[in-house]
Amino acid sequence: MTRLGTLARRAARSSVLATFTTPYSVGRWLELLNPLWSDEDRARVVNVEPESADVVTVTLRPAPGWPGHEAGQHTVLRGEVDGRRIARAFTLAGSEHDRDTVTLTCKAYEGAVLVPWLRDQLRPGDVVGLDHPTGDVRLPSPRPAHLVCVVGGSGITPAMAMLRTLRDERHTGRITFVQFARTRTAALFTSELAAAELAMPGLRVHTVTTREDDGPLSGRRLDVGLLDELAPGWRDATSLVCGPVRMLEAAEALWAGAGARERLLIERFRPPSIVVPPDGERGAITFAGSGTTVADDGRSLLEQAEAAGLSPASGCRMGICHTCDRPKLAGLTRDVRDGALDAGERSRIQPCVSVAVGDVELDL
Amino acid sequence: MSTLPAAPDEATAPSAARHPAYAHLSDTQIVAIGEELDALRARIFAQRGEQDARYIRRVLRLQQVLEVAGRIGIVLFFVHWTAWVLGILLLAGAKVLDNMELGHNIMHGQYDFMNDPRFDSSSYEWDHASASEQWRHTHNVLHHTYTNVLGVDRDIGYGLLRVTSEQFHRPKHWFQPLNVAVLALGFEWAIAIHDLEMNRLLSGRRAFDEKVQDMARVAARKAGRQALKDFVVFPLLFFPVLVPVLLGNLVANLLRNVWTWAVIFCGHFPGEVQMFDEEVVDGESRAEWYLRQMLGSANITGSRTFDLWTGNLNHQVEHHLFPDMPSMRLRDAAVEVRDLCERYDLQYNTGRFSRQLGNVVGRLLKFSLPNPLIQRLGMQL
Repeated sequence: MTRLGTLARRAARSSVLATFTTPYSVGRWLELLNPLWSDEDRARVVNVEPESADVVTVTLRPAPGWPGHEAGQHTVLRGEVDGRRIARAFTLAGSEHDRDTVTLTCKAYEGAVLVPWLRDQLRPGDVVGLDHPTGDVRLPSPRPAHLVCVVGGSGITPAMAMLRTLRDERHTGRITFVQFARTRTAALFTSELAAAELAMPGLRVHTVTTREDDGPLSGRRLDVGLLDELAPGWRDATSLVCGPVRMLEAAEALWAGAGARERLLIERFRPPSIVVPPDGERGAITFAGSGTTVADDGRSLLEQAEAAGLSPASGCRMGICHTCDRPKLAGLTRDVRDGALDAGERSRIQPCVSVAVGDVELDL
Repeated sequence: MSTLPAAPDEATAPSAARHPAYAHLSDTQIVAIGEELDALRARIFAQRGEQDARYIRRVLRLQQVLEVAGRIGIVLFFVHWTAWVLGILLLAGAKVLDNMELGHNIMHGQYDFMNDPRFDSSSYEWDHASASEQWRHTHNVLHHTYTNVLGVDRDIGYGLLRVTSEQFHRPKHWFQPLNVAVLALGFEWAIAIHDLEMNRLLSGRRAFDEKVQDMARVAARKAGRQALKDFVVFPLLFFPVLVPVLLGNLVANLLRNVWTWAVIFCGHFPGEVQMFDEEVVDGESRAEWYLRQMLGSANITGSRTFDLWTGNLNHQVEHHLFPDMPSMRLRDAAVEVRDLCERYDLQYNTGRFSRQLGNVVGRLLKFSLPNPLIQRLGMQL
């Protein structure tokens, strides 16, 4: 079956065979037989496990041709909510030695659409889109003698991938694992971490609570004192820090101050944040493709792009021909015809009939 | 692009020049019509979602199943000739669905909201001789923005036919019945070279410069790949029945051409459809643009099944008002548009397929003659 699947995936993308299916891919036909035999990268849902009110762990079996991942890398998961495809990046939280299944632990941000859908609508057997892994944050090889992981919130996932990988390797080196959480109950993977601590002689797990007074570590911040206390020798260790922006900024300063910046791995998560400015206030428009930023003057995004000296494709200039459509990378836009707001990430907008509401970044 | 008149702008005040077909309307009424149609559009667009996505996916699956069945039927010629005939019909049907309900509508951006590359207007290619990028230019930009504006909308007669008394009568128009047959049978190839503006290239009004050469290359590559598939690789794959497969594929393509030609001509050239002069585009308000779309298109009445096989282009009036409205919603929009036309005493062009087609054919025959001759024969211009 795997052999057949691998062959099917190769055929799905074959340009020679596409002579028979032009202008479409062979995969567009093969997916009639099996939705995984597509030219798109997909996966079948094996299990959906809610972890907490806003966190869900999804286990997937990727289509044949999945290259496997390295601990620390991420992927893009695509689901369809009310007829609209929504994509979001998630860290691959499983061990890199588990090459058949993919485990994603997904946290819902405020206003998020995809994660609640994953938790409430997704069932084992369903098929979702799953891109091949990317990302430069990886567990180094050979494995470091001392690994320090400092994580906050859902930033724990790349560290879990590394820990699970090392556990599978029966790694005996030192690992210092520091998790920041609002409260004890908000801490993630506590039982798995406790079990790992018993199984792995070099592993020490610490939980720092920020909103609860329940022990010596509560209320502590990420600083030299904490690191010296929990992870002596951290300056010479390989370190991974992943969490909220403020934690990352603090970590960069700390490690740079210690002359150890090059041994620090940082994973940046950028939760989608939409800031609606007060009435009448205008933001800045960034045309990412050309690196141009202009102060919004209220005209359509197309007119402002042209005024900035760019020459984007355009046609009817009244919103019917879709020649000027571009993906919006960030921000909020309004359709001048019906006032509809678009807050989507990477959603396609019509620049000739769209105006910016606050800061907007357009792929143009 | 520099030869185009200014695009319609967002001005709300109607311009001074007024087409006789809506000369009875006051400025306030015109503004009100615009607002009513904007509101209709907003109301229907707010409903877009899973229903539309499920529908277009089902159409795609049906199209794929028909195509597979059709190609198998054609090959089964060696079993019985009826399989071959059935196969041709199924393959033609698959191509009709591909070109109209899928290709045409997807490339209008009707399903862009799905954010799915399979249904994305900017990257879609269709099972049709024309390159989608060039079709989108002549169709979405020129034809839909400047609908029925003489001299700009090149879909008026496709540079070959005379469909209104305002077009000059040239010698080629004496052969119009023959030209119509050639255009209908070769419709996909005519569209494939439409953006090249062959008549202007041949008469020297358009230079065969680098840009046009690039376009010609793109057009030739697309048409070539299509021809390779239907007329070379599939016949060769089933070598023992090479000739029946080649013939079957050709007939299926021709059937699709004639059907799409008929639907499209019924949408724009029945007798009561209005033509407009270039001046109307200058300073045209959105409401006037709506009026031009309504008066410059015609519907064909029919069932839900007919909707599917015409790609909902039987609701041509509504499609022209709202080109990126998902096609399955046009039937609902039509009820309200028709009501609006009645309230404002505007012509709502609609009729049975046989009536619309007869009307179109009559018009094409009539305008094969020069204007003085038409009048001398006692016909209206």
